[in-house]
Amino acid sequence: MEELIESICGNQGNISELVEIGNNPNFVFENDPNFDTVILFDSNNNIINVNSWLECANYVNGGWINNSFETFNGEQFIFFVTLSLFVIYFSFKKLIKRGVR
Amino acid sequence: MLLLPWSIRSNDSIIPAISIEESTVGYYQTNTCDFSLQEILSKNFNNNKIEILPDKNSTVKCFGKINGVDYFSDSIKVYVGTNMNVDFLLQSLFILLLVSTIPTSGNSKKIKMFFASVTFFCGLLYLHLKGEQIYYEYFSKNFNLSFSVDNYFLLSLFLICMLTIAIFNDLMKDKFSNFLNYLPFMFLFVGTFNTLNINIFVLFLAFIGFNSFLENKFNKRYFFVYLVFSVIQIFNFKESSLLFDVDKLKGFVNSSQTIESLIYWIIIFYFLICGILYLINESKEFFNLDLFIRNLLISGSTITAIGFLSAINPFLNFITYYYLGLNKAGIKNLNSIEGNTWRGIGSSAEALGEFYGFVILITSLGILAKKIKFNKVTMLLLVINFYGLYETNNFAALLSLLILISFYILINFKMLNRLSILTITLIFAIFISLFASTISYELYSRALLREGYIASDLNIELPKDQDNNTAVDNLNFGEILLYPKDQTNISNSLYLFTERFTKVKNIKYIPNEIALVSFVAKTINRSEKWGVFLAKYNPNLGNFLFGYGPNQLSEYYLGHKTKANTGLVLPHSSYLDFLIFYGLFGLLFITFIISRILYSNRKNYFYLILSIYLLINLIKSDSILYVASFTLFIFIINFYKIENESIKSNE
Repeated sequence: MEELIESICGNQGNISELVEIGNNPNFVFENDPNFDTVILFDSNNNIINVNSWLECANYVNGGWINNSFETFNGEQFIFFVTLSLFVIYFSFKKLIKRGVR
Repeated sequence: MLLLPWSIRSNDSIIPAISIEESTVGYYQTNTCDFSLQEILSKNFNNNKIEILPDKNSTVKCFGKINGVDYFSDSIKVYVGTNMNVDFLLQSLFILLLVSTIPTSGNSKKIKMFFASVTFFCGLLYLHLKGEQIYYEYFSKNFNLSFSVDNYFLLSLFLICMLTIAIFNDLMKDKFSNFLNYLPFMFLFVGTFNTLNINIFVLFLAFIGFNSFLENKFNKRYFFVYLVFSVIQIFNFKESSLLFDVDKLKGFVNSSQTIESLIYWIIIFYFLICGILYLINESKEFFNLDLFIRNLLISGSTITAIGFLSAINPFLNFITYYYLGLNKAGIKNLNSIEGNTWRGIGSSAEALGEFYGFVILITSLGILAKKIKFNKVTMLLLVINFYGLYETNNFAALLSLLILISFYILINFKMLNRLSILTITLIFAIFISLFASTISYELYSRALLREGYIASDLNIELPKDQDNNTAVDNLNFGEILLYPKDQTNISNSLYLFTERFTKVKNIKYIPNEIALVSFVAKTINRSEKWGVFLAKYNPNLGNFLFGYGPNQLSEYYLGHKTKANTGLVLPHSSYLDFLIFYGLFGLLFITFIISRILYSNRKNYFYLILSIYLLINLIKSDSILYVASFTLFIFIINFYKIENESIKSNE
């Protein structure tokens, strides 16, 4: 995760500060004039502009990414899991049949 | 394997799960899709402030993870990610695992799987998804039905369907003959998918039915009748973008008003019936009443126990909902709550009460007539089922159960002579007279129409009298008929009933037929529900005679505007449900068929009493809308075949 934060937000902050934010629901982020605004996307393609390293790291930690990051294709994953099950099941069945013979 | 999907932690997350309180809701709202269900379970197992619900719109990546937390005054709602593709795979595998535990019978019959079955069921799945697209688009952002090699959404659904059917077919090769004995567990393992409007047992039984069709083992006459009805229903069909909220009927009712969905339900319903009948016909010699009753008792008792366990723990509530394939999560209270009776993990308290009553009835008859083994365990299980019946508060089931058992005892012990018949008639007459003296006939005979008009969304403003009462308040329905029908928005059925009530000349001492129906409805506490049915039921002639089609409620429910178009107010009578599906001709046809079967088996009291119990209870419940109750009904109506088989083998 730290690598992902670093690749998207840079290395201008301390990762331990994130835990403090998580425990404080009323935390307000302050703009950092030295930080170049980063655009982040969530899984629904919602967009947010973040203006400080901490804000950026917090959102990336929450699952937001910049558009250059490739998304995980869940349906493809399920397809290959099922295909593997299919192959295992029929191979197993064939083996049992041979064993019986 | 089954718990694994709920335990996968996001490998990106660096923050720990904490106890869910009002103050930590923000923490979970910020960190969505990070914590697995298992993680929050370890910190919140005894936290009764939370309620765990499925988030049906989740991506595969967020499956089993906490996707949202919301604070409400009565509880904190925690949403766990679920996904259509994963649900289809995981829930199918779980039910297949259960089917695999059915013991193999020695000289078992085998069902053949034709390759056509697999392709046919994939096609049927596509037809279903296409027909109910509006329903599915709500659940899946990636819902895509285009045929392309990179559409993994559709490809994975097809592959899961093929795998499920192939495994089921292999299991059935050894377990087919014993399947009937384990049918009672359909009440416990309901088998409805979380995000699909499909029930796995409907799929399995339809698969058996389709194979019987390919083997040419189906009734050609009934097939022809069904075909005629289906063609007329398709021609009468009006397509629209209505979306019916399937709610507790999920898996056994059409959500949409499209021609594809109608064709899907016509096909699947036909093969479902074929499948149940084929199962009975081909495995009747392997039926074991002892085992069947024992399974009913275990199933009923487990439903009661899980009903209570899932009420006290939110995690159990969610897991039972998911893996048992419940149409609706179990009730979160231990007792009946205001306006709602205890239903445990069942979808409907009424259907569950009916099931408990049936379990007690068949066990009692089994002990009396079939000399089945009765020991301490049977006694304990029977008591638990009695308790379940008591909690569901189904008075009709209890009363019919007591009357039918008494009747059987009178017949069995040859106590039904002239004196006992006279005594029973006398007691009945006294009871009716006492009841009649406490009620107002005028109110009872008009209650049905009154409730119908209360539920109707009339376009006209009815004038009020000096007491500020309208024609409906004064039960003066003839006044409403003075308005032109097309201006009133009264449904065809309510209009017809009002006309029959007000305009038909009555014969002295013979009650008006509408008054009689209303009297019965009010007596059995159905005037409100049947009144709503009248307000909503607005068929044209074709739909009235041939119905809207199997499991089609959307046009009935949403096609005519009333005050009861939201929520789920069902007709509360399986005969009315059947009228909606198959119209008057369908209802007359099925009545004729069942009456003929009952008459030809009139001396088989065991069979007769079980059938009558269900037929009586169907008058005031919607049980045929639930897969397990529907299957049980078909099975019991055909139970005489098993009885005849047992007589044959005894001879």
